[in-house]
Amino acid sequence: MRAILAAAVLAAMPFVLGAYQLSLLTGGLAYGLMAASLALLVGHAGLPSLGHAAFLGVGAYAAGLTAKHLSESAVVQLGAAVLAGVVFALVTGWFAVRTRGFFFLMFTLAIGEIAVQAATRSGRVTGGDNGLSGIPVSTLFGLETAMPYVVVFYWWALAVVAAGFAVLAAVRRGPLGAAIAGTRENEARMAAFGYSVPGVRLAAVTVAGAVCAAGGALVAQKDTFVAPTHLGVGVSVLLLVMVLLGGRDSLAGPALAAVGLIALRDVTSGALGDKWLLVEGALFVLCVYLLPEGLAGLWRKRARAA
Amino acid sequence: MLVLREVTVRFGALAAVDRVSLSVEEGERRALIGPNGAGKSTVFAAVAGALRPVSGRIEFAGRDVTKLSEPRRARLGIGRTFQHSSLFTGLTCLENVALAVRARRGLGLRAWLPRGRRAEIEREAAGHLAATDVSPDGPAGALSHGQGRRLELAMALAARPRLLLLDEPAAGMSAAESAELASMLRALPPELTVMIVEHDLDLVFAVASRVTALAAGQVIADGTPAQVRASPEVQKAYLGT
Repeated sequence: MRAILAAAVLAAMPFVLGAYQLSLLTGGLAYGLMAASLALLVGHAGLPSLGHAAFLGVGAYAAGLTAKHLSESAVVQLGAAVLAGVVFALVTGWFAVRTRGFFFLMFTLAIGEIAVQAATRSGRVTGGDNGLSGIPVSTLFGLETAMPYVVVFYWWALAVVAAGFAVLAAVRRGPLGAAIAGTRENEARMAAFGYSVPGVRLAAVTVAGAVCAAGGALVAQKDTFVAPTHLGVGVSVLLLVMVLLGGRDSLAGPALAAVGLIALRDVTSGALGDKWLLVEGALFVLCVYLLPEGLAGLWRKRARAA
Repeated sequence: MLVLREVTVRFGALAAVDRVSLSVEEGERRALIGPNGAGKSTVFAAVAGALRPVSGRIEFAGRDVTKLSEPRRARLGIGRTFQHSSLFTGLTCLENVALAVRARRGLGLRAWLPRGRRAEIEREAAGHLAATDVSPDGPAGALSHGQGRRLELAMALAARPRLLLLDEPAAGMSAAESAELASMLRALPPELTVMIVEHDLDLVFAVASRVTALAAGQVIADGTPAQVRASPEVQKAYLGT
């Protein structure tokens, strides 16, 4: 119910916000979806990843390359991005889920860095250091000819984000979500029940990766540009901050934190430039100390008190 | 039903289980007894598949399972409880059991289930909880020790095993709770094969049809409860600790 209300309010935003803020909100929503997908790993599966941006990048490059060489349809590009995310998740996840805790963290960090290197070194395909530019503007069912593009694209992004959230929420609530939480709480018992613990974890990585890649496609379509830095540890940390700020075991919390952080970055980076990272770092430290359960924890505490 | 042939499990230089052979018939109630460090829990871990023997062979229901993983063996019908309560403390008691029910039905990794299937699973889980006298609501973490041990039992039974390994099910229970557990165990279906590791010898002799005694990783006696109780080796092993 609350989700439908939130979607309705968000859908009405083009009537309230100007083009610039709307574009900013579009980016915020895309990052919100990616942060929520990371929360499925960090909070629900207990797998802290430092390489989640690799999925953003894989989705973004897949969508961008599809746009340049195959199809200008946003839907086709999204499909390509999700497919690439699934394949990338299965290949890297196969190894990653056999580690845990600190080693999972290091392994995912390495995967992210390898992805950056791969994007930088294969310049003929990806544009190398300069990034993938010249991505054509996506077509959106022809609606873009009837209305301002920024508005149509916002609704497209909102629809993708809503669908992604629906997938994440359904998975968390269903049997797979219970199995994922089970492997987080008690591996030995899950194995004794007959669950393959690596299999359950791989499913979690794949769902999170596919959803994150969908968010990556939105980033590529919105900016019509992808850079190797999109895959890097900086973005991974940003996503992790969003998750910790919003609340690990929540979907809405990280999304809210993402929108807030993207807006904050827009406001502060104009004045501070690269020093914006100091703000991000300070926020990170503050939220670890003051909000161990994130914004969602604050919300729950108030709900309990009421 | 279960045959161990010369099974050896090592932790480094220590042979925690040293060439143990034993055979358990279908429907048998077999107790493993012995002083601390005798290798009882290690035998269980080897049978369940949590530990690999360095040598020897384990057959279950006529099939060599020595190299099968723990989940594979669980799906073949080997269920277990753990020596230390091993509950999902953040989940409700019902959800603890439902995880086992869904795994047995092969639905554990479905992203979604229709309402009818969900209700069916919950009914089955609630049935197992009623049989072990545990309330379905509330988090498993809030249970008393004795209730937690019974929930363990419900979770293991919900997997509908053919062989059930009970690792010290009465650990930390009061005498009254332990007696109640004994009557629950006696009420288990007769075709279910049960192996039990237990220090509470009253419970052992109330439940077991045969007893295997271990000491220092080796079998020192095997027979009816009366025979094992009378065995001089067993008496020596117990007095020696």
